[in-house]
Amino acid sequence: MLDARVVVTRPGMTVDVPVRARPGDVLAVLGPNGSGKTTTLRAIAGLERLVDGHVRVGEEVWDDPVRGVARTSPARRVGMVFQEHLLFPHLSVRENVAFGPRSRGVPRGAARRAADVWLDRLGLAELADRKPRQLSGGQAQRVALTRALATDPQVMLLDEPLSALDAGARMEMRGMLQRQLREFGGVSLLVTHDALDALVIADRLVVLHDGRVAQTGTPDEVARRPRSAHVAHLVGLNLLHGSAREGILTVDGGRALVVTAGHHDGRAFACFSPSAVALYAERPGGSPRNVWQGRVNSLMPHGDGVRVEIQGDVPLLADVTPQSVADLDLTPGTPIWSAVKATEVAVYPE
Amino acid sequence: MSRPAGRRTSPATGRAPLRLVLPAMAALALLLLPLAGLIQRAPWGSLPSRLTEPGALDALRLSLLTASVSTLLCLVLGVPTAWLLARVEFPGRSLVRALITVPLVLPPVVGGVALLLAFGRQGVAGQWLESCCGLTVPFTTGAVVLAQTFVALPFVILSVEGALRGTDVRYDEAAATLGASRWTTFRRVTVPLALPGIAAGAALGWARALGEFGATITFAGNFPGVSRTMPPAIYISLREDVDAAIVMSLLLLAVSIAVLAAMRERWLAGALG
Repeated sequence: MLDARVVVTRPGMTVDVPVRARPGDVLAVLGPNGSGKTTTLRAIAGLERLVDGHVRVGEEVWDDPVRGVARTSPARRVGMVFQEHLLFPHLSVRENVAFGPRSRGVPRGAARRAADVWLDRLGLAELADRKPRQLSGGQAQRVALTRALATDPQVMLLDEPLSALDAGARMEMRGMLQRQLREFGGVSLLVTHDALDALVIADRLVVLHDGRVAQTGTPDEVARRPRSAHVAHLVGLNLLHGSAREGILTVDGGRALVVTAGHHDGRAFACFSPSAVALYAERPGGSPRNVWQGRVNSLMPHGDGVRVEIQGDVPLLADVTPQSVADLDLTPGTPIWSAVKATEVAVYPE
Repeated sequence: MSRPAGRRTSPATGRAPLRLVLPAMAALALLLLPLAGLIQRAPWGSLPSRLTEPGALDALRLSLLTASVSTLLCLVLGVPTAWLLARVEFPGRSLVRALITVPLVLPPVVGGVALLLAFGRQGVAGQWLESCCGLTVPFTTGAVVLAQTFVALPFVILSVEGALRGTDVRYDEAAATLGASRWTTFRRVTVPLALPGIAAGAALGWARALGEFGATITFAGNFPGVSRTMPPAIYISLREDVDAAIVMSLLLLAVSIAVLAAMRERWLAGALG
């Protein structure tokens, strides 16, 4: 059981993040850069000083500044995996994995045997005698995970362990994380920038914004009903925020109206997929729908099609075919009309 | 540890300008001409017999012994000091660093006088050493080591501090999360990672100790077998027998180059293998 409220002051902001999890839980921590994700992890590891709040694990108090308790990192049973693997370059893979047990007083021989058991368990036995510089990025990060697990931690802290890897290594590492964190009996916290990592590995998401929790829930809940532009962007959805009344949502800023299928009055989010957005060179007529004026900001290949980022009445993402990019002659700066059917828009209260 | 890429300038940046090349050539000449003169004037015929003269060998043995002990002492005292300066925030840290650099700019003779005043019979430390353990430091081999350590220690501290600052603190953090105390981290992570820099600092300190003259002769005197190291021995013999001075100078030069080359090979090998 992890029960923490991390309060840390950073230049220009205060991080205040409550985290509660039961043994076996895997929490993904998401949020834009500078939202306090890494700070939260480092504070739980004891690498960052709390100014308020607490960190309790089971019956143990790791941190409680009000009561004057602050365990040092070595006195906390955490396993930390960093963005860069940080394997000790002068030690072999085996010695790296044995470093944790040896630091906690296990004799050299026993620690090496324990390291070999762990390396075998994660399928890395043949790398035991190599030095870190003889490993690929993916191998090094898997050894780093093994090194953290071999300390028999109560809490695993993973700080963007996949973001420095190339696509292939990332996929392999993602699968390994998923298996190992499921088998691991303690609490796992995974900081990530990648929606896929969060959705595949975690069973609960915590979304941070400006040092606070913006949203928390199961991956499914968060992905279907994002409550922040960051999450919407991560899962690739358009998100508008405003006031709803009798099926009409006035988007903050006041200019655009969304005709909605849902019935909800008050502050609300409106969410729709980029594939629901149709683009026109001239203002379209016909059935009642949402029509906005704007300009193309950027074009990016996306699957078989093209994802168009539009700036204007509302910021939008639209997925279109390469054919329509050619037909509409889309380049950055092209003026464009966007339309979304009311039935494609999900509305939910703030 | 990895070599910087693209050390060669591209043809596009043009020739090196003469106003930079000429001073560099003058510098090279200034550094190498005296050494060439030494080699050119050497009495090569009588070299073997002069090399085995007891005075020269005694001085060389004493020089190597004292410089090595001093370097060891510099490492034992200097590496912990450098670690504190590089890794621990404490009040007055910049003052401490400034004080450490004072002996660096102090003329060695002045250092010798200061040592004599501190460790002499009337000095604070000297009186205490004499009353508690019956030790008299000045004009002994111990005084040679003390004088050499005094002048070499700042070099060692500053270069090791630089090496420690150059190692990534995140490795220390990773070690801490793995359960390592600060001492274990120092021993098993920080020092091994900074080893090339520590070795460079030791080499610098050793060279400085080997060439020590002013502080030694002031504080330890010039007694054959006790405090006559190579530099005072060369200085003395220059007035009586120039050839002897040249031979001893060559000897010191050869030994220094050999030791530095051997060390360089070792830490290069350590860094790569």
